Amino acid sequence: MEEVMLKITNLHKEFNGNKVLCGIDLEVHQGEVVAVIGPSGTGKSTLLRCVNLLEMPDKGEISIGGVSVTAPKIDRRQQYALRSMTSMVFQQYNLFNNKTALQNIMEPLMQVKKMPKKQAQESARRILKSVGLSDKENVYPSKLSGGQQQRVGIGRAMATHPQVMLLDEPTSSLDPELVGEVLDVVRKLASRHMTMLLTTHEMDFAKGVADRVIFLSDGRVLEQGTPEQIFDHPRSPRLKTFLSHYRH
Amino acid sequence: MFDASFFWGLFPIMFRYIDTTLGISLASLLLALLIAFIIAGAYYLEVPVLKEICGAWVSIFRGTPLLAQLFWICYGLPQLIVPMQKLSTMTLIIWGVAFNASSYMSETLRGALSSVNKGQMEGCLACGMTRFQGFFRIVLPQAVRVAVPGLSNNFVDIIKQSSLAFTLGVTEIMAVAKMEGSTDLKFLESFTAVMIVYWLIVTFFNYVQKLLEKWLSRMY
Repeated sequence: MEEVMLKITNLHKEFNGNKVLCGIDLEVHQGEVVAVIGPSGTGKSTLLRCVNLLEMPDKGEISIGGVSVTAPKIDRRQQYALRSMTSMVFQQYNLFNNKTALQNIMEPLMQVKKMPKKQAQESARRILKSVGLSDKENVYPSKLSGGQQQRVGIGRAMATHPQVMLLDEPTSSLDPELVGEVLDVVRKLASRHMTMLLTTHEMDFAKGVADRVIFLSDGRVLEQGTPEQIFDHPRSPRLKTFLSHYRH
Repeated sequence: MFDASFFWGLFPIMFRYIDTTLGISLASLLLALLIAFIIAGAYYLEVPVLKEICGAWVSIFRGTPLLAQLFWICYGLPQLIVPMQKLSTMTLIIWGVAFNASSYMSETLRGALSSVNKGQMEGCLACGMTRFQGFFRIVLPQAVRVAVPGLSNNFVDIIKQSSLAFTLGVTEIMAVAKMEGSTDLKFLESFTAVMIVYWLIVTFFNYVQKLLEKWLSRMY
């Protein structure tokens, strides 16, 4: 077994008394792709957003690579240290609107990795090429399709060579015909053994790309296993009901 | 009734003092912008202590009349802070107008900052940037574009408020209008003329604003 890259212990989070995460324990190994599935509002996004501290957990421990933090006492320095181990792909892309596609990828290289401009440019060009958008380098996000924006988003997330990449519903706001191009890029990353934790509604995608699937329900990990175990041999009634909505 | 030759004769005289009006306005604009950016930044980044100071600043300068503030800064404060007595009235007026305008401009900027999608800052943080980097490189540039019409409006107010300088003995175009008008009691001519001059200045800057907005929207 590869070494543990991400370890979450007893993670709790509530919003105004509404308990969203009720003690999550989770390990992701190096090079592993873990897909989190579950009904809407069950805390999938919150879980991912707690991992890079965009949401501050109420309780629990997170450790990535050599950095570990214990909520709720996490200072700014620890936040930045933990985040620098990760990167995130958002459902709404969140590309920098005032930067071109190329500049979106250069930005973290220059600001976070302190790379000189020339080098960042070359690096960003290579990444843009790997997501198939070399011809769009000087285009602003507002002029890109959703699928193209999300591919730039993934490129930006790749740029800093994170230990763990978090993908929060990367295809949920895309038109069906644009989903494929984004999934292809994610599959390509998986084949390069990028450690990924992702949430998705695309069961086929989870089945195809994930090494392990986690079923989250009411803020708890209800069941987990290989895609085969989860999709073909679900044990809990809750998971069976959930999956029945996706079967035709 | 209306002395046209006197009226036309006023314009060359007023244009000689227009640099005072513009000087007060532009210097106040720059100082006000600087302060407004600091205030808006302190709010957005929730800088402890500075945020509270800025809150008090805005409350004071938005909550009291500009004329009272000008008198306070030109006549009141120098009694307390003696080195201020060495400063020219002109400088103190610029401070007063700028402090006042900064409180309005910071609100304009604050509104513009909150119009920028939260996802922009989250995008920055998620790829390892600090809040300061995210603010200065991503959020603020987008907010400025939104703020330009509002800030221009604030600047138009500054231009008009510079006319209060004449109550403190600085000769700018308003003071000239008052003096010229009172020598022959031709107030209709002199105040009509001064209003036209203000209107011309404001119209000119409105045009500059349009160009600026066009230039900013060309980018993305």
